[in-house]
Amino acid sequence: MNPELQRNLWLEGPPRRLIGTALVPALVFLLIWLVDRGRYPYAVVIVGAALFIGAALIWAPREARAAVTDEVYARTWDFQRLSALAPWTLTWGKLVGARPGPGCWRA
Amino acid sequence: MIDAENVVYDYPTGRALRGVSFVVRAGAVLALVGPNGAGKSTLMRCIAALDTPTRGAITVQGIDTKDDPRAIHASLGYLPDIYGLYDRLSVRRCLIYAARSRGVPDADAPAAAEAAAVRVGLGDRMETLAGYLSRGLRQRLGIAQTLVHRPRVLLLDEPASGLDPEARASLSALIRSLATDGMTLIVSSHILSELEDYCSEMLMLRGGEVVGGGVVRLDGGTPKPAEQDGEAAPATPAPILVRVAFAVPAAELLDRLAALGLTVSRIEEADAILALAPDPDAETRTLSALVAAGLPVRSFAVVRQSLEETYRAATSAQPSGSDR
Repeated sequence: MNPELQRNLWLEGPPRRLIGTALVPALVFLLIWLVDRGRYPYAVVIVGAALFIGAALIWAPREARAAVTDEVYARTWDFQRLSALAPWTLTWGKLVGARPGPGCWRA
Repeated sequence: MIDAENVVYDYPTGRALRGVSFVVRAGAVLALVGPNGAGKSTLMRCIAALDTPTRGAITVQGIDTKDDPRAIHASLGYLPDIYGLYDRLSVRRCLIYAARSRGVPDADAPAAAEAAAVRVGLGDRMETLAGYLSRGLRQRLGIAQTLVHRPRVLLLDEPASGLDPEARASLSALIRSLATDGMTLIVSSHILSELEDYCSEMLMLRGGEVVGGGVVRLDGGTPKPAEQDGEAAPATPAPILVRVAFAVPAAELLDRLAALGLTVSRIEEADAILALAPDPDAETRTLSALVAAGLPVRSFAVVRQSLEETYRAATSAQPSGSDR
């Protein structure tokens, strides 16, 4: 596993939170099915695309940015910069796994 | 092992390093000393490839810090003066993450973490959260994180800062043991007595410049050509100081010693401190000359100059530079 992702899961990913993260999209799609009942064939696709854009293109980068801010405040950023991991490995580890701590609200 | 050539570093507010050149040989324990603002931390960050010099070059184990910073990161360990730990991770997880992020293969990371923890005396606290460790133990965990990938070069910036005397003593023991294993260390501090125990060489910085002529060997030995990694600024051997006690207060002692071509550093009645050239035969030659001249020598012993004395001697001759 990506070391950065694993660290984030250790720090931010107790099982309850991971289950919650999986349940949110499942509940959204259940809600669509209950309301739509197959009347609008593209409803699931449109909502799925909206969820993806919201999560992958807006929420995740925001969390990753906030996580970097947290690292600077916690004085662990130099430790991260000394990493021998490739930049992309570090980036996707943060995009997928990072959740901001209190430091992000100071940014 | 580490070769710096004419390194200049500029902050937006001013110049921190002004043409710093030196060579650190493999296996040396170098004390990087100087007053606050001398440029010690900036120099360490440049060696660790965290900051890029404005001019000049630094190579570590033959790798230029500008060309391949990631290879530098994998080959050395660096503990900044102010650093953070992942307080909500256990010692074991901190070290496994450090190992994996420094390129240790996944399968070897747990064993590397265990070995590093044992090395710094944290073997019995593997499941303790980093946030619950005392100041001294946090320092040990910080050092363990820098050691976990078995680097050959270790940079420690003010490692004893804020530690109590007991923690300092155990830190000294740890550094001595790392040096015994052949690791090359650079340890910075502005408290010279901290470095006295374990450093074999000293580099003095003031106002971003090297003072004292470069790396000074603290044992007074002459650096062998094979020990030097390059041509630039080799270690400058300090003079050998010898305390000579004479059996009777010798009249005109100063004149008689000067007539033998000896440099007298200090003289008090029947005792004299002589400064000899850092030559392996200098002591034998001087003792023979004293006896041959009929001076009643009672004792003849090499005086190890303290780090503080060496530092004062080197810096007193040099005007203070401007700090950043």
